[in-house]
Amino acid sequence: MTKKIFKILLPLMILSLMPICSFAITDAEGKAILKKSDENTTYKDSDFKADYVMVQDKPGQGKSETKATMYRRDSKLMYTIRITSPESDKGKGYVQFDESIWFYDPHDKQFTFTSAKNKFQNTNLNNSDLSPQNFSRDYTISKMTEVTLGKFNCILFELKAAVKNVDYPTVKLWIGKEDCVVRKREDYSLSGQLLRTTAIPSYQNVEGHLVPAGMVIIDNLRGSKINGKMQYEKTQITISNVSFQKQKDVVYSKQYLETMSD
Amino acid sequence: MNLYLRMAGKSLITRRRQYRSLFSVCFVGVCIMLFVMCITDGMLASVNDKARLYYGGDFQFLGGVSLEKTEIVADEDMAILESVLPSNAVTSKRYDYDAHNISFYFEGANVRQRVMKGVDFNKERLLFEKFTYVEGSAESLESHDSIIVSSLIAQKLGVHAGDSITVFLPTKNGYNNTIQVVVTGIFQDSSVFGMYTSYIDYDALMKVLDSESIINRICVYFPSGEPSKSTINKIYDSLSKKVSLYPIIQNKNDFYNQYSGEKDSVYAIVPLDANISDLRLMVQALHLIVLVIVVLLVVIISIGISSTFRVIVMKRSVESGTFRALGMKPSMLLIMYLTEVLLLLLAGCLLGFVLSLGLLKIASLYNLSFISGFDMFLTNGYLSPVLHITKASALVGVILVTTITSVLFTLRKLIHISPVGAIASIQ
Repeated sequence: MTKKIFKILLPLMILSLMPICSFAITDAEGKAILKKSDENTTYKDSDFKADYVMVQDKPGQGKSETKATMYRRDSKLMYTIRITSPESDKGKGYVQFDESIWFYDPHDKQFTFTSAKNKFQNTNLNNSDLSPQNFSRDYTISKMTEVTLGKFNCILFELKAAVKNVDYPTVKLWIGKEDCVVRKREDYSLSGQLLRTTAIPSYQNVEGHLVPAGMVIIDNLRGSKINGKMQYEKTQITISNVSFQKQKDVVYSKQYLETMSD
Repeated sequence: MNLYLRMAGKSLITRRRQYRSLFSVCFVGVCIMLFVMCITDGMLASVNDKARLYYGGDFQFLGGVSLEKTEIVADEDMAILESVLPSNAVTSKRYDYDAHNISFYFEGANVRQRVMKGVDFNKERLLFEKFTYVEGSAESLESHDSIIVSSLIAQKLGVHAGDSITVFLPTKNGYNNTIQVVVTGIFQDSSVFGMYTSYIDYDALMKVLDSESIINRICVYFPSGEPSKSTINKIYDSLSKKVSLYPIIQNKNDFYNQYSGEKDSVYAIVPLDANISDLRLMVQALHLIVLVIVVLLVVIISIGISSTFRVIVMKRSVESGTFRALGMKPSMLLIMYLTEVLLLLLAGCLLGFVLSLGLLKIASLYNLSFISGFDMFLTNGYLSPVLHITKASALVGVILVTTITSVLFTLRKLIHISPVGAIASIQ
């Protein structure tokens, strides 16, 4: 009797252990995937240009749309963003160089120092979201789990801040196992409260680079109660007309924004 | 003296038409002066009360080895301070956090904050009882997660006492952090002191800041009333024997600019005035306005009455001559006239005083919080005049002295009239 039970249980035990044996990610593999996902957000060998459309949905207040053109030179940690729509914000822009971010308003022709922590044009996007990501540098991996996110096989990374002054001390990242791109991100406060959720359902392959085609950022603090149910603010971002052609150096300067706003 | 009083009283009554204008000048002038003084004193008292609540009491004890120190070091400093304080003084530790990026969230709504003060609600119970609460009170919860916010903040968030809100701020390491706190009280204060200030349980503040227990001020409060300058000086003298003390400062920024930390370990007593030194200019301006009004009115009253009374006395030259003929000496004549003036002034001051009380009562009935920026001077949105009997008595004294002196100066020659001269003046 005991032998019979053992004969039935043993294969089951072996089968249950198989996934762990076959699919367990090692620390080194996890770090490599995280580093690769960072590299996928960085374009060191060329400039990056794209058109961004940001639609912010504030529950109870309607939607607002902002269009912008972004230029990035990641090798020099520079970027320029020029707002092209709506008419009231046309000509405004951001320029980053020398580790400083400046906001330009053509109405008073003034540059104002801003911070990576600040919101981009009062949307749910942070200025830091527009820069290359450095999770492998700024965070340590506290946990890794293989999960499925919709149709994607992902590694769920639970990250803890390793340096000061990052926006979020705890981050959860769902990174595609095969393509090493971020599919979903959850940002938490130090006390563990969910502050923000970012979903990147689709990517576009442009000249061998995987660039998000669309993103949704949900602010888990701001919103409104509609019909007794809490609805949060969200910003939907569409990225199009991506180009990796070299831009003129003047594009990454204050003069460019001043000139283009005239 | 009775004779003079009776004569003066009879004269005032029989010549009441002549004295009407003098009487009016006196009572209107006194009414305006007292009204302005009481309103201004009330406004300044309101500013002071709000500042007392905001700054945790009547003075602050700062400095030592560091402007921000651990609770253990703060306890040692507090023990030294308490050894020189009167027994009725209440000391408490606070951490004032100047909020660069603090926000409150409630059901999706958010409001930015200017200052958040970490306090011990138990220790500062007497002070927090002075707040005007729209809802709830400053209650210390066992869970140490209570907060009181201004009615303006509560309105913007849509919260009520008992609701739980999320406090969002960057920690000392720059990490975004949140904590849930319970709104135990909502206070009324839309002045610059209270509008975007909240008072949170100290433990909750340290928790959300992810910091060890640190203190950046020790507050001293006298429940019986604001201490006099001599009391502060006594405390200063006693304390200076125990620790190195900066001179009593007029402006706390002077201390901050000169403070060098552990090198000197210098402490400072920061009276309430030094905390609101930015407002001092405004306070001085108010005092100056009151002074100008008072001086002007005193001059008008004294000169007006003396010059008009001179005319009245000149018209009574026959009477004066008659009294002189009956054997009244010039000095006695002078006393008679001065007694008339004195009675006139006293009656005018009394009526002015009563009228001013009525006007003050009317002025305090209207809610003036609609006036932008004026809330600092109001108590719950209303003017709250303060009558200092000493000041009012001093004012009346000044009016009496200046007017009688002026009348004396005016009459000094007129009283030497002879009977013959009096008759001759008619012809």
